[in-house]
Amino acid sequence: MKILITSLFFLSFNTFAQTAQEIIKKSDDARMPTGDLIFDVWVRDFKKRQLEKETRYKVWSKGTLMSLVDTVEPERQKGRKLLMINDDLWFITPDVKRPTRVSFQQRLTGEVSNGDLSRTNFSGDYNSTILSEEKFKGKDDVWVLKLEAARKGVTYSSIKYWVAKKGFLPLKAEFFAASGKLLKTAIYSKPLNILGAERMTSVLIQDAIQATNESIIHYSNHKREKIDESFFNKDSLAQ
Amino acid sequence: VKKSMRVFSIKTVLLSKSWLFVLAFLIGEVSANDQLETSKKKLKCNRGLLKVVTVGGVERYACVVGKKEKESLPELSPLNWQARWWGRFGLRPKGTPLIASNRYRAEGELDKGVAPWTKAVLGARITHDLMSNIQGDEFRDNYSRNGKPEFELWNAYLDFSRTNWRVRLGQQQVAWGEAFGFFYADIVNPKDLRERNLGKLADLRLPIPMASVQWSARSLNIQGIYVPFFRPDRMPTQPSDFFPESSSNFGLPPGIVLDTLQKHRIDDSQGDFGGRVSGTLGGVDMSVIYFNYIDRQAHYRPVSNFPIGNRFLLESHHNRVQSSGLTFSTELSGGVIVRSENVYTPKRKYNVMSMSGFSEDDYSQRVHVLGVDLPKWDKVQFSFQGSLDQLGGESDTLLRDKNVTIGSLMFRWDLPHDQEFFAIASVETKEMSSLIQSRYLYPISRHHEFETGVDLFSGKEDSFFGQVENASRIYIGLRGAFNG
Repeated sequence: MKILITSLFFLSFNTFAQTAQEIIKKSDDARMPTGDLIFDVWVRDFKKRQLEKETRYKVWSKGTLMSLVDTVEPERQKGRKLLMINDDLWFITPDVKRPTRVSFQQRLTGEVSNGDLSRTNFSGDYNSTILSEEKFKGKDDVWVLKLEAARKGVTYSSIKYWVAKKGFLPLKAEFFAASGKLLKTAIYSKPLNILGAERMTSVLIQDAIQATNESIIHYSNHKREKIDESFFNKDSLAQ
Repeated sequence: VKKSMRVFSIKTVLLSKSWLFVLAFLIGEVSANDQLETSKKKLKCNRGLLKVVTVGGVERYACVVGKKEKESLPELSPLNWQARWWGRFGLRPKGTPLIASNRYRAEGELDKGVAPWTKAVLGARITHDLMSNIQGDEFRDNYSRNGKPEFELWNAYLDFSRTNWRVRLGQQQVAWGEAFGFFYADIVNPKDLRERNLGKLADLRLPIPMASVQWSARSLNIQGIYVPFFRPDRMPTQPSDFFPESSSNFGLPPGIVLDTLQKHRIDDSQGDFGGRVSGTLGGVDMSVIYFNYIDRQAHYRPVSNFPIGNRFLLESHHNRVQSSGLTFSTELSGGVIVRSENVYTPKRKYNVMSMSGFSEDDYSQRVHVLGVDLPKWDKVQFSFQGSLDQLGGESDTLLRDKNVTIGSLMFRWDLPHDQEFFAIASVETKEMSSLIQSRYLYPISRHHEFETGVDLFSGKEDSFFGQVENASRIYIGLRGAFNG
């Protein structure tokens, strides 16, 4: 009984004393599992609410610092790849057969930047602070966090981030440029049990100025598979 | 709590593969920044095998000491295929008479796992060029492919890849360098220059038989290559519009046509070798290259001192050269990418007109390229590139200027509905000759896209780009791609 009470005390203390960085870390996990992973991504781009483009990718991810995003459809663009290793990103196209360095901020498709697909962890890239605790849409208890880029080259200069206290699920993010201008907003939805935990499987990204310009990213078919580090080699992948 | 968790975790591990392990203990939770964490944990787990186990929904590192798991053979990769076709209908508005130049191409590639860690790749393509004047009379003999379908075995190799090693044997492309639009540090494969540098670089880089061995760690790649057989660049021949109108340089009388024999003579034994060490350090991609090879580009010797008929015939010769170089690229603040290539090739032979007549001389070639890619502004992106190609030698060369400086501007615009427009304007600064390439792509379906564009050469008759002015064209085309 003593042990149980002590355990409960520590557990409850833990919940209330979450640091901002711990929240971000757990919320990262609620967006995407860590470890070796293969999954599919389906991106639909809408302009003025009209579907403009659909792209399907296959993603190989090793931890949070290595990933390969391979275009599967449309077939005329098959073979275009984005390779991320640590803080470096390359674009590989069959037209050139050579990796070309690109930035995380650069637009990949619709409202989606390269970094939105290739890099899914905020905890390693941003320093965070808790701004407030509130009810999201009058329903869920959330933390509102401010994330500041920990170094140059990350996708966004700062992020305002809403994370549900229940399950650390991300609910909303606002992405800002260095000037403080709001660039776009992301709404996370469709929590599903993926590889043993509840994780968000859909992200709606809206342009800050033209809210009718939006992209929906849908994640599916998550599989754990051992991926060798050497798989993420830009020279091998290009040739 | 910690103790009970540890006992539970050890039990979980032991129960899952009980015969395999002598002892397992946990050494920490898998963090989001787990690449770094992995290295730290590996230090702590120096006597065992570091594994990730899930305990109560939380991933944790377990150090497993005991009998190692036997590595199982990987499944063979399934058969994948790609098929592409392309039809282009072009018009050359600067020549007389107006010439229609059409190209039809079909290509395919298969790859399949044939043994553990090994896949076989087989690709081929067939190209048919049809030239006619605008009235529709066909010219069968005046184009690079002689009006006949040209079959080419493309990529055809065995690829063995395991842990840090990759060995590739067979007909393949090796691409080095950082530049766009032109080949500078990209020296390994010969190039199809029958239409100068028009087209995609991967289409112009001719696959050749070679052995390539690569060893790679996360940020380091070492590649060694051996090319057993010589294959030269493919150059335009008379009367292709891409054959340079530079016969005046040779002091030939009017009516005499300069031409080259298709036979290539090499002045050394065959067998090229070289390598590349590349890596990323502090956000900078760097590579050092070295290649010892029979020069893909020719210098020429006259077959006789007099024209044969109305042709002054030249024979192509190739000598051994060594190129070494350094390339780098990095991202500056704000998403600006800087790229550079620098290649040095001593003792490269170029033709000269000396007191004794048409001959050749050794030149040291230095090429420097600097490019800047600006960040995409909304859906528009600009890139700039400047190149300086210098020949160090005493006398003036015949077929090119000693110093060639080219400035290029690339513009790319992503239009709605996946349409794309891009243009490259290149200017050779000495004679101010230029090449403007632009292309607009309109997707028709998942598989097909329509294209239209121009390739416009302009400048003086003997200038770098102007000498092939008649090859300028406007075109429309249709492309298709299928995969399975």
